[in-house]
Amino acid sequence: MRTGFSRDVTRRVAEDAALLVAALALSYLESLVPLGAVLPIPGAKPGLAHIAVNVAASRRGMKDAAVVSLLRVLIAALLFGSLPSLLYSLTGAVFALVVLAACRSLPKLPFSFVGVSVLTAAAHNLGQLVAVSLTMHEAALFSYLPVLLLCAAFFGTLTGILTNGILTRLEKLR
Amino acid sequence: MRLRFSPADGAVIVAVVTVALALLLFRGAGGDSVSVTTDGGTVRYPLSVAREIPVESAGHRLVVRITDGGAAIVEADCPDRICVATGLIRTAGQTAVCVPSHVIVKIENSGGAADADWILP
Repeated sequence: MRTGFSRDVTRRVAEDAALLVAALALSYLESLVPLGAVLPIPGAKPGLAHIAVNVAASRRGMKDAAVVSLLRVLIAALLFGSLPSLLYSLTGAVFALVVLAACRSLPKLPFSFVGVSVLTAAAHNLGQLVAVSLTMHEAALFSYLPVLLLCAAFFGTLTGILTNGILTRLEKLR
Repeated sequence: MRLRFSPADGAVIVAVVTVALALLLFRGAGGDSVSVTTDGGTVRYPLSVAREIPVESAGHRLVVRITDGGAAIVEADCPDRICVATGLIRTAGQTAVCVPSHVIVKIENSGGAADADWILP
């Protein structure tokens, strides 16, 4: 049977869709945890969905990572997020993708996904702050940057270790 | 790309933490007034007078309380209530923010009152 799609395209769509669903599941899991009560910092989140973005970037490429990341932000906002915060998440995601692309474009990157995740998490938080500050016309929000960077270092390390582990296991499956 | 933790990963973590701590050190200490910014503008209050300020902004109601030389958002009907969980703030530059209602409570040192709409005694 001819479908008009090559096997490669079908495989790519299937794999990206699976990663998108995984990213959405991780976002949903995060939304169930009332982190704000323990860590009263606007915008501080573990960012577990970024594991799926990292896997997409590593196995497929930046285009696939961008598709997974941006669709995840959009669908998560519609399903269990809030629309006003969509702009902030989207700006954060774009900042993170730029840093991820920069890391991947270096031929000999000295660090693993731990370093990459810490940098992308920091970029995500910076992007959020820029978006919130612009919409609220208030630079005071940048006083949250130091605490957000500490969160980025911690949660970035966590998601980086998980990405390293998952990709090592996926390599063995091939 | 590498999939194993390398010393360079540690260096990235240390670098980000160092930047964060350096930014924290640049913060001033001690404030004597608090500015409350809402949709309607900014009002500044001295920290020396204890009071409760009801605030309405972007369809939400909040209560800002000034006590013990600091300020806190003590009530809010926003969904996440991160602003209330922030608790008492008292050093200059510290902020308690309610993103859904566009409210920013910020501790300041007097002298920089130029951008306020109102200054209350």
